[in-house]
Amino acid sequence: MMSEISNTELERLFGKTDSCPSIEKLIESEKIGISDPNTRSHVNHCLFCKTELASWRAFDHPQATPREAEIANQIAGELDGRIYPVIRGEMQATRTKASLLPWLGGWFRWKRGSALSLAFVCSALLVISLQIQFRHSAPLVSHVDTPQTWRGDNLTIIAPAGSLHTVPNTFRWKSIPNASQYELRVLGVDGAELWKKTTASTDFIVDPDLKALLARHSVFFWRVAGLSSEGRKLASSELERVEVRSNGE
Amino acid sequence: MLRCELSNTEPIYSATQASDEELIERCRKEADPELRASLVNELFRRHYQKVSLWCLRLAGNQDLAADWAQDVLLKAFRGLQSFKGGSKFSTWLYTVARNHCYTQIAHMACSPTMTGDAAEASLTESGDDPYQLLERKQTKEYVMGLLADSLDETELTVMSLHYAQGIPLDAVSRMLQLENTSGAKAYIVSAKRKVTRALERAESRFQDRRRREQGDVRNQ
Repeated sequence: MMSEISNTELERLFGKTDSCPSIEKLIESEKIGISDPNTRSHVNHCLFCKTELASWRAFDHPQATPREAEIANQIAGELDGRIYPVIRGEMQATRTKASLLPWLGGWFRWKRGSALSLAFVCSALLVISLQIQFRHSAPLVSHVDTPQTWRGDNLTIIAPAGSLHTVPNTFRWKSIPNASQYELRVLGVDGAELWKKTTASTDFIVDPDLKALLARHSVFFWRVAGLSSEGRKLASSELERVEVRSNGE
Repeated sequence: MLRCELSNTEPIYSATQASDEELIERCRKEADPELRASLVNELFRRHYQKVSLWCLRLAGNQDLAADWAQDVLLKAFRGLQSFKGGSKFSTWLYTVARNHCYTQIAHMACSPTMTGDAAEASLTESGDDPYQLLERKQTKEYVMGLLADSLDETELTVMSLHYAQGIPLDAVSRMLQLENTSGAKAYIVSAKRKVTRALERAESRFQDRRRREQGDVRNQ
């Protein structure tokens, strides 16, 4: 009788068994068609595996109602602003950590046990304490006459940016002091450089060659760097993402 | 009901653009952290829609879905080093999304609830009688076959998601896009009726056979 089967028993009946493959393996097998007869036979009879596949299909090939699609779009829009800053921040932090730790670690390993390690630490402490003392006692030094050096990410991009309906006609950015020319670079979605140009102006009108190139890439990145007359990089813009959505896409 | 292909709102990638796996490979080789961050972001952007919709269906409201989707993507980003390419990136991301959402559901203590008809058809919990346990163990295969024979694909999926994964019925309805008035609850009720009937038929066949066997013994 049905009343003899408990909810716990039902959970057990529909639950994962020892012979169930991992979910990743199950899905990958399903994608290419399960060739192993044992796995095929298991999946045909396993309620858990069947359900996992149904669940994956609901994720991979979703058919959304207009309302669901609207909300999913709004969430995706929110994610755009939430995810990238975290990724960028963590990658920056990893880079700093990765570049400092091996150097310091290596130095200390090399000098481990030697008196030099101790000497290094002592001198570092001495320098720091002297710096603190001089900061309070030394007069301020004027830097007015020194040439202005710009740090990265100080060059502001004007256009194109974000989502567009057509391939852009112009690349524009703000000028920076002391820059005699600008280096414009266009990168593909995989980060590979597609095109590069140096110009003295703060804009570049897209020529037919570049237009044809951009038309083949619905998503691309671009950045511009300001160069001194000697070709030294003074500042560079952030990497800007551009997505071209033609009508109906 | 009108259905929208999500690809309507997703970027369309031309043949000249890299696959997910190629992007990951490129990220791993890229020295410039800013470009690397952009590439990783590009990789995840491709899946925003799917992850958002999945979380929306399981969470049931926009704010919670946005938080879950963010957690899924950041979890995937932080675990990207562990992606070895044994499967497609989208499959791997699905498992991250699946595990995260199911865990969230469990944390929310959304134990399967049944009301109305479903509650009436609710199964009584049996005790821990060793004899019953043994009997159930022996008949598991039989019951599995009975379930598979009696229920259709949707009923099986609904039962499995609800009982094995602990997904609440309203989330199961959204996930499988069940458009009937009572959603998954109706499927549970219908499935239980079918299984009850099948079990009763089996019980009746068993009793008949036992009576025949007892009759044979008396005749001998």
